[in-house]
Amino acid sequence: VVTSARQHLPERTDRELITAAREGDAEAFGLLVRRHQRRVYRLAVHLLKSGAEAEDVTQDTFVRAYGALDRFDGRSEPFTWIYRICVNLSLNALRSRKTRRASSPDDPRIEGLLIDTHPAGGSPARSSADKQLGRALVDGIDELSDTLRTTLVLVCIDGLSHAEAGEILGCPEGTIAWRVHEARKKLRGMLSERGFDSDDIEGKE
Amino acid sequence: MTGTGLKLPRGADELLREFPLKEPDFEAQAQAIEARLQAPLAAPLGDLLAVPDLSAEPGEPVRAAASATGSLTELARRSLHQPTDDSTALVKELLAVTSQARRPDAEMVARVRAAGKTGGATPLPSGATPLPLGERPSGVVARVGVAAAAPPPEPRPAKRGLMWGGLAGALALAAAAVLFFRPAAHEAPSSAARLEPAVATVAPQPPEPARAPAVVTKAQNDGVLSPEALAMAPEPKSHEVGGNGAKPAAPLAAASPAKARPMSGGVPAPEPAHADAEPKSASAATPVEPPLEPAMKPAQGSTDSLPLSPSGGAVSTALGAVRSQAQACLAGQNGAVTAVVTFSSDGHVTGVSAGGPSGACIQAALSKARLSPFARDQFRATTTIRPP
Repeated sequence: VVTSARQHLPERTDRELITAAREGDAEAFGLLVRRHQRRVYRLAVHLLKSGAEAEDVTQDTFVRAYGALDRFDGRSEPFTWIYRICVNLSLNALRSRKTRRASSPDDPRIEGLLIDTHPAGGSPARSSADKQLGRALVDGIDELSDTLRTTLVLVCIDGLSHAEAGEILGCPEGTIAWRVHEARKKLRGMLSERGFDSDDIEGKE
Repeated sequence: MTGTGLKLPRGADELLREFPLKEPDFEAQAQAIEARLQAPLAAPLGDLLAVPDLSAEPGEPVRAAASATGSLTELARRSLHQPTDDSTALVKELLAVTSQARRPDAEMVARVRAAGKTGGATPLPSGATPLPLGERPSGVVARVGVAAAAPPPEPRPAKRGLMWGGLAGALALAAAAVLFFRPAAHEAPSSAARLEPAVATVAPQPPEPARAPAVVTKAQNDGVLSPEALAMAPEPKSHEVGGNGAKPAAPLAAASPAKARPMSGGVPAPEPAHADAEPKSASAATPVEPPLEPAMKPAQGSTDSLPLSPSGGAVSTALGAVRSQAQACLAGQNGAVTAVVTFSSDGHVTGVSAGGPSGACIQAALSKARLSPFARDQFRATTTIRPP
């Protein structure tokens, strides 16, 4: 379950950690890294479709952020500031690729689907259906444009609000809402082409 | 998370939120990051803090700037759908909005105070200069003229009751103030000038016609005919012209340079009783019954023998005579062009509004249309030119 690390470490807020890190407290920045690295990694994975590249981008994100602590003006939340760096690094990595590849051999999403995450006793049929749906979702997400995919990942996968996603991507909430709707519409169409309708999913259960 | 709207197949949203990923050893990664932080940072941040360079999707909404223009446009649009007999009220409504949009500036306030009046006057836009005394109008405006030409906001005549009786000097100052503001009203560009071209039409006023467009009212909308809609209309009968039809607003019409400029002329008088006509929606493909003929009524107080307005049939004939030339302008094109043709009271075309790359050609062709003289100061007709 993706939950914010901030909920587990409520002692110091992100802003307090940033302030402390600015004053030379390396441990404070380490806490910030541990608080957000999982979400940053998941964001990078869905954008890059590669585990190795996502790890690199995750590391780079925090290293670059650390180097730019004095440029954090406090107008936005620290995590949106970090996310924006991650999105920019991911887009740079995507555009530096010579060819656009559909999937990577080390795509953590595919590898994750291969692991049975359901508890023992769960329906094997349901698990199989979920894996098929997961694979279709991965393919559908990858078919989206960078713009729609980034927005969808931030909102529907990472669970950010439209306002937060708008702050990261620098566009109004209305635009985010439109993109989410458009991405979901396309995603639904792609899933439908693969036979994943609501009735089908229920029928497989 | 905010609402996601469109429904995905069952289980998809849950899977998206809890997508199973093969995750690395995050603690080891965090330690690696901390180790990198100890080393000098070689890579600059660059533009990584900038807004991500994501191209807009096709059809992505663009923020529209809300402005007073928008509200005026909406107001004008609504006015086109008001009942005909509300035209006067609509004019007043629009003029009220326009006048409220003005803001007095320091210069104007100072000039008003210097003139002995401390408030309550229509603000004078900066840069406005009064006419010489001999050319100043009296301030009395014929109601028919106002209804026919619908000028921008006119100042009220001097309320002499406000002047203290017996103080001749104060009376003179008040009169001077009123006359001082009158030309300002002519020169002040109406807020309605910012209306969208499809909604607003141009009605210049004598001092500066090009800068004083008037607003569109239902009455004017009714004066806009679609010849296509009237294509089946019979020729006008003699009874359509009232025996007492006269040119309204004689002083304004006499001073109007409408015939010398394209797209000029005052807003026509309210032309009642053909509310069932829908000139905007009518087209050549869907001819409708002539809506105007039974609706023609003489203008209030008119005395001339000329028809108040040209009949629908006459307009259709006049434009039909030049239609083929206009259609030739669209040879090889696909889209139709809607043109608004303005006739002066002598039947000549004073202005043609047509957009698109062939607009100038269409304007030249439609300018040759001729109508019989009519009483109104001008008459406007809308026609759609389709490729041959």
